[in-house]
Amino acid sequence: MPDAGLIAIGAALAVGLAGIATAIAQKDIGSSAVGAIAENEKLFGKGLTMMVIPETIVIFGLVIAFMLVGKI
Amino acid sequence: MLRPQKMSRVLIAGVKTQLDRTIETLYNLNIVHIEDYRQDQEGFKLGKPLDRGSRISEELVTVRSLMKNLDIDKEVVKPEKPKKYGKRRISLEISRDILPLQKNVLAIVERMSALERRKTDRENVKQLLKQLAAFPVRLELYTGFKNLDTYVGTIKIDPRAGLNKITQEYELFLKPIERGEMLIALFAPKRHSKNIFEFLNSKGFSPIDVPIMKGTVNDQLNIVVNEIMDIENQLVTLRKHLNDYNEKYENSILAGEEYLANEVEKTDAPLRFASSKNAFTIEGWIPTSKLSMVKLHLSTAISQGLYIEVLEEKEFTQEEEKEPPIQLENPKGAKPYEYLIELFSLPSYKEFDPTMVLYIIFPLFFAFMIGDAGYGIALMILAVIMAKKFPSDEAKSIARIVFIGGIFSIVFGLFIFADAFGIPFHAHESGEVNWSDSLGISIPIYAAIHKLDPAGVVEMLVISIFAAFVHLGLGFIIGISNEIKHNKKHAVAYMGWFIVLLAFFMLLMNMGKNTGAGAWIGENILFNIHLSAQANFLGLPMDFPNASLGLLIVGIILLIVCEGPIAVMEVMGLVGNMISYTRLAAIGVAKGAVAVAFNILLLPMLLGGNVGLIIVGIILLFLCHMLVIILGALSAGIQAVRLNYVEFFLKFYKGGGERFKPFGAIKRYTI
Repeated sequence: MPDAGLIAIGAALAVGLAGIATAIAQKDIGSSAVGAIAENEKLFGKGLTMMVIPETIVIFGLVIAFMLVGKI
Repeated sequence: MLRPQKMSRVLIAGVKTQLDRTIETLYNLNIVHIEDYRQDQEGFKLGKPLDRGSRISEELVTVRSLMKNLDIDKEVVKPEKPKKYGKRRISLEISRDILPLQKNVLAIVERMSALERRKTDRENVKQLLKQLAAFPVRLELYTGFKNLDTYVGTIKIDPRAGLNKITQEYELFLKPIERGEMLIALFAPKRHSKNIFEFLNSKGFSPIDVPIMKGTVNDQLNIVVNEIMDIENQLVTLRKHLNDYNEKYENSILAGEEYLANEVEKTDAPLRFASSKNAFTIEGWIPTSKLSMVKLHLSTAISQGLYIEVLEEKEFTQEEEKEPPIQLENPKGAKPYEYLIELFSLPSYKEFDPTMVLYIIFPLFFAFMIGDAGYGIALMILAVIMAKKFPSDEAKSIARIVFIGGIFSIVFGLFIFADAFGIPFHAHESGEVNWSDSLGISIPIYAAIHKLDPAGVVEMLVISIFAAFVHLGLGFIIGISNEIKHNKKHAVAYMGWFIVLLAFFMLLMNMGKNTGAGAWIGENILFNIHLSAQANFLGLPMDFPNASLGLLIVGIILLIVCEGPIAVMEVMGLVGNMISYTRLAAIGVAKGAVAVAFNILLLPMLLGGNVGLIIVGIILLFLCHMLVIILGALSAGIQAVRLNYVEFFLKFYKGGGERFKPFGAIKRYTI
């Protein structure tokens, strides 16, 4: 298929860009969460949960990538 | 199960003479959650602590300072079981051993801090002498001259040129030290002192106090060094004394602290009661099932002058201003998952307790993501080690959760993915390393899903969406049953959400109908709707897109009616929630891929026949797989928790319950 290369690049972009977006979101949440945990260790559970919320973004990217790769 | 324990509100009233015994009885029962009195009744004030309280508090302060001096931490839980003390025994040991011990320990601690001070002082002198060692001047010659001034210190530049301008009569010793500075010892006549002092100051001179000593610098240095060594030896001996005390008395001191802390809680308890001149009342919550037991105990212990009244038995549906405290009630196996609920927030009294849902769903999610028989076994072993090493309750809960997750992982790894340690039971592609060929026996289990095959990935995605439907649907159903007795409108709105969920589920399943899992779900759960296209509804064929569109419209109308038009905005959020469950597939595939990558890199080392390489290969393989197991368990655990906290709980769960804290002792060291 002539478009296979473009599809593969598209899949890579989907995961890569979504990953960067997640990282940007997690950077802020992570530093705040560590600050909160330093003040009150009981917040560890909540901090951890908040921390993983943006991971949905990269999973969306991954799903799109799976679907694209399936088309090659 | 499914609900927090049912609570009853009780009022205990009695005459003051019975106060002590009432407290003792309630404390031993350890079942009554006392509500603090808020001074809102006329004629009743806060009670006063019992008389023996002040003496016990003092003893407690002493014991706690003893613990600090001996470096005993009650938060540190030791793996071995501590020795338990009876009440009489421990109060005897407190007065006979522990309290007198404080005097000895304090003496040692004071002696140690005096020695430490002396040591710091001597270290400073040592530094000074080391610097002065550069000059051939005896120590007594630095001071005590009638006509000579001595200047010892550091300076930024060589002062000779400047000094020569003031006078030629001086003697200077000079030694460069770090950063361009130099150490000087200058002897000059007193009559020039003003000029010399001004000159030196202008060149950044900073004086050093020469210790008042006699003899050569090196002799004195030796003496000081010896003294420091002597102090260190003394400190070691004293520290050993403290260690001996620590070892000998740690258990009994901890027991003493616990006993005294419990006693203080008892003597301070009246501060939480309402009390008048001759009477007192206690308000609190008791689990309804324990009510008669508490009544019996109180009436046998105190025959006269005490009255117990049950104010109300709380139904789960009542809305009152005073919420009962929450005590979760689940079968023993589900107990560890209560920890996960508590980490989020305890349910409120009128809500469902979702522990049982977590108990069933969490291991399934976890195992689907791990999906490897070998890792399952490894996780079970790790969980056992963890429970042994960290005996705290939380660590034990986590270890149990991981253990159960490991069992499920083995099941998934055996019967669905048919692999162990990233190596499949049978070769999927020719030439692939597999267990059957390696062991020389054909394992009679074949994979239902190949994790790293594109078709397998799509199967896993479809299963993830199915999990989303079941999990979110369960959330909406719990939401309906939570609300149905409070607010019919909210209950109908949950129904609307459920219908919207079903519509999107059908749409997504239509996309995945060519996969094995998708076809099975279409036939068995969605009643073959895609096949009944010939059935008409208002002239439209009942195929997937039309049916789901219809459901979507019905659901959205329900939402608009019950929750207002703004609810429509959140419909897409629900799709996001559903897609979010594809993390189950994504993490499963990603973890499998990492394991396979390590195998591809390292397994050839084992097959080469070189003994050295085989040993290195085995070590590397072990380390790499440990990495995959630990990181995999961490991410699978966190993501499974997250799906429950974020996607599931936010659908129905309000939380905010106050924990049931019975008035009574935590007894680790005492009976």
